[in-house]
Amino acid sequence: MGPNNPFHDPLRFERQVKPCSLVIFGANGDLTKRKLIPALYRLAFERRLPSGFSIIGNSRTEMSDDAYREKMRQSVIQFLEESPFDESVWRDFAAGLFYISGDLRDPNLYSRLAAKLAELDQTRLTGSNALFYLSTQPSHYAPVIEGLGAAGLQHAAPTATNPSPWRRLVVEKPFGHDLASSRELDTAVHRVFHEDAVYRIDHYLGKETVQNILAFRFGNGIFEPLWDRRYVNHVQITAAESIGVEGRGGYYEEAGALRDMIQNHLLQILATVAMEPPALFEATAVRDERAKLLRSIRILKPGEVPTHAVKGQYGPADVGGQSLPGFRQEQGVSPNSQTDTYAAVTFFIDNWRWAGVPFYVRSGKRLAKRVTDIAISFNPAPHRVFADSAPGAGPADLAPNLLILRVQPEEGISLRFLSKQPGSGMQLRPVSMDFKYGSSFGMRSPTAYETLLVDALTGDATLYSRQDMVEASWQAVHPILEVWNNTTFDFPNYASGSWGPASSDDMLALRGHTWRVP
Amino acid sequence: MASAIRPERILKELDQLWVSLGQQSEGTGVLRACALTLIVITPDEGADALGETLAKLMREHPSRLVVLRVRPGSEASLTERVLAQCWMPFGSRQQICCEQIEITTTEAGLKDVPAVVRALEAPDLPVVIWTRIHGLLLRTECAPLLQLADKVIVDSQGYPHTREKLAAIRATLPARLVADLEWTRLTRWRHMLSQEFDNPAHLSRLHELQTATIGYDGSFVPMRALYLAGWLRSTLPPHVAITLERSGDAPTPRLHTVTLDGGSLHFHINVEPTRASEMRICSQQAHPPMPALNDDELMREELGVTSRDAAFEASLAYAEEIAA
Ligand SMILES: NC(=O)c1ccc[n+]([C@@H]2O[C@H](COP(=O)([O-])OP(=O)(O)OC[C@H]3O[C@@H](n4cnc5c(N)ncnc54)[C@H](OP(=O)(O)O)[C@@H]3O)[C@@H](O)[C@H]2O)c1
Repeated sequence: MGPNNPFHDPLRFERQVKPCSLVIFGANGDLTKRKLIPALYRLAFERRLPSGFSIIGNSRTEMSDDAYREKMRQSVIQFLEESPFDESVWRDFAAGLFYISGDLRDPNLYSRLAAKLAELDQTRLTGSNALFYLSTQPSHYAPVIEGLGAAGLQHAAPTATNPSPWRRLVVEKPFGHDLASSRELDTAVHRVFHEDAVYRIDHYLGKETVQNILAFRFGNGIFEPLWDRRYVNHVQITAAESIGVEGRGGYYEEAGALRDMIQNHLLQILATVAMEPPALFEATAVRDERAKLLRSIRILKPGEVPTHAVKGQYGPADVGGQSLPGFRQEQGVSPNSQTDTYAAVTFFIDNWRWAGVPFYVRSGKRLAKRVTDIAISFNPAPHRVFADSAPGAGPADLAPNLLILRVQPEEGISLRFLSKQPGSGMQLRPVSMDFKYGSSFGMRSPTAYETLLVDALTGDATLYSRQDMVEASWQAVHPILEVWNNTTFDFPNYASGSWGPASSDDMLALRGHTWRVP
Repeated sequence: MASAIRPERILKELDQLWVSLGQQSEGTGVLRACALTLIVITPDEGADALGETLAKLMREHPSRLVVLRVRPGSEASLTERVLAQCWMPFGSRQQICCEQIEITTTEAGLKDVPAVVRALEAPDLPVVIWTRIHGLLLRTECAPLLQLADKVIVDSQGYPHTREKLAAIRATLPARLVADLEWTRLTRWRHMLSQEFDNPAHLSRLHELQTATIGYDGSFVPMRALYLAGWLRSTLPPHVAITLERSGDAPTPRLHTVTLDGGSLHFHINVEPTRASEMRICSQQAHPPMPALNDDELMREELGVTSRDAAFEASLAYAEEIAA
């Protein structure tokens, strides 16, 4: 550790990124254009990046630095959300943007990269610190990691001014397509990088609302006492999309909703909702609790899968006068495809806090609307004082207290409770008390990629996934994938614009529950 | 006389206002949000122009707003009106509204104000006073008003520093949080300096520094320059000589440069109103945007600071020494 900067003012300055280089593999790809470079530009706009900050992009297309800068400038203008584009900020930012073309399977690429990093250390004082970002197809992860290792780029030698330079690796999802392949990837990663240097990105964890769940649970004293099997009846986690696969049929055909959404994003959300309070808000403590929770998810036996998991696929439909193709009619999709465009699972968590409480998790495409939320349904009042005065209605049963944590589109928190209907008599009706994040605070929230990039650049892994979490969540879905692979489903089984297959409602009905309409 | 205003009536009017806003919203509802009571003391003349600044502030810091308009006059008089600040967030169909109570008083009526304001505070939330009338809070009749505040924000831009004024600001520090927007204006400067010294290549040479020169223009030293001097004194090694250097007679005194020099280290920021800013460290040069900040931008930052500002307190203490 070097001396501390005496000018720091943590009360007013946001966490600072120290001088470093960021190397993006897949620099000509969709993720880089849509998310990474706009997020980095925005960080520069907010003065979160140090002046020598440098980016080296790599992909095969031949381009000069200037041509790459121009391409990225257009992407920033197109994809920047809720912020202005400022030419003078861009000029300073673009001066640190470089491009190296080359095939990532070519060992020579890595020696050129090493030379460029050394040059930037001299010209832009990046202190030998570097973050490698894998933003390319998953099949390229292992070759890049090997290439970096062969060129010795995973370490940097201490210098007079920087006694402990760092090298880190960001891996984009998916982390394998099943338990075995995730372990293979992990072996490849660990042959070169130490676990402390590996940042597995799950952009859901970077969303402001998901972080807000932690603030809500652990910053307030009044909710945590209710947060267990005695008061919580069940939990529903929904991530619904109204769009279909939108030209990514080929990719989706290989993935499916269970792999693409539930195994990673929704199980991470589940862990955030259900984990024990960490002792500190610090990477190891928070990730230990998340991992512990994920390991407590009950692993289904093959015979339990049909009653605990529902697989669905959308069919063609006319919606609003428009004919929409079914999944099997999408480009790149087999006409007999068995891929799940909808998946719903009943999970149980085998620990003291949650024993017996079902966690229903669903995700699908072409559902009624785009919404992601978490609904915690509480037990009804133990004694029905008002049952007689509200004949037939049984409002306390029909409308249990519901706490809804909304992730998107409108981030916020709602609490549904019963209140007396105005007028004589004692008629109760449910009302909802809303807190909307975006409208209570008009300020712009950072995007998930802004948050996560700063975290990786400053060495904070709190919101990143770890190999034990990845494995625990693959383990939780593994039996379902196995059974589904060996079953032929009669697809399609739900109409576009609906809330999914009827069998999903049946799954909840087994325990006397129904899906909410979010 | 305080009896001219009955706080209960104001609160009732506020309730009615919410009911009617709810009825007008055609089922989409109105959200009310409140994180603090913000009391803004402003000269009556020109107070209308403050509306936009306050509306912008409300988005980030939804508050119960009490605007105290003060006009000259030796006869005590208070009047009030109640209104709502509403806006429709981008992409939403729902309005968000904050309540505003406007009290107009003569200077002589000021003594009656604290009793009214005390009854109007939003319960259980912090109270912040932002005064736009220089020196007003130091008057004895304002002492009870000051007692209500958890934080007091002043702005000494355009006023010469005097040892007494600094002492007065300091005297209130133990009891509550005090802020000066002249200090807030320095955040950007301080941040830039700090960012450059995040680089170990620069930080490791900090001990080589010999001088820090703060350049200003004007007939007196602007508080901002003095705070900067105080801050550098509190952060730089004691051997570094700190000087304030005057370069002209601008009608509104302003800070324009800071230069740190010594050994192989050279750091310089220059901000001119007519030119792009310039930042140099050793051989590197940049032109970071350094726009003059509006009151709403300064206040947004200041309302976000809810705990003691150790850097400000240290700078203030040294500024007082330097001013002596
Ligand atoms: N897109 C998203 O929103 C999103 C969201 C979450 C996660 N992800 C993950 O992020 C990763 C990248 O996704 P993406 O959508 O950006 O992919 P993409 O659009 O296919 O981009 C990959 C880029 O890599 C370059 N490339 C391909 N083969 C190469 C090779 N042999 N050597 C060097 N460069 C090569 C290509 O550029 P050239 O043709 O110029 O070589 C291509 O533009 C994937 O793992 C994906 O799962 C993406």
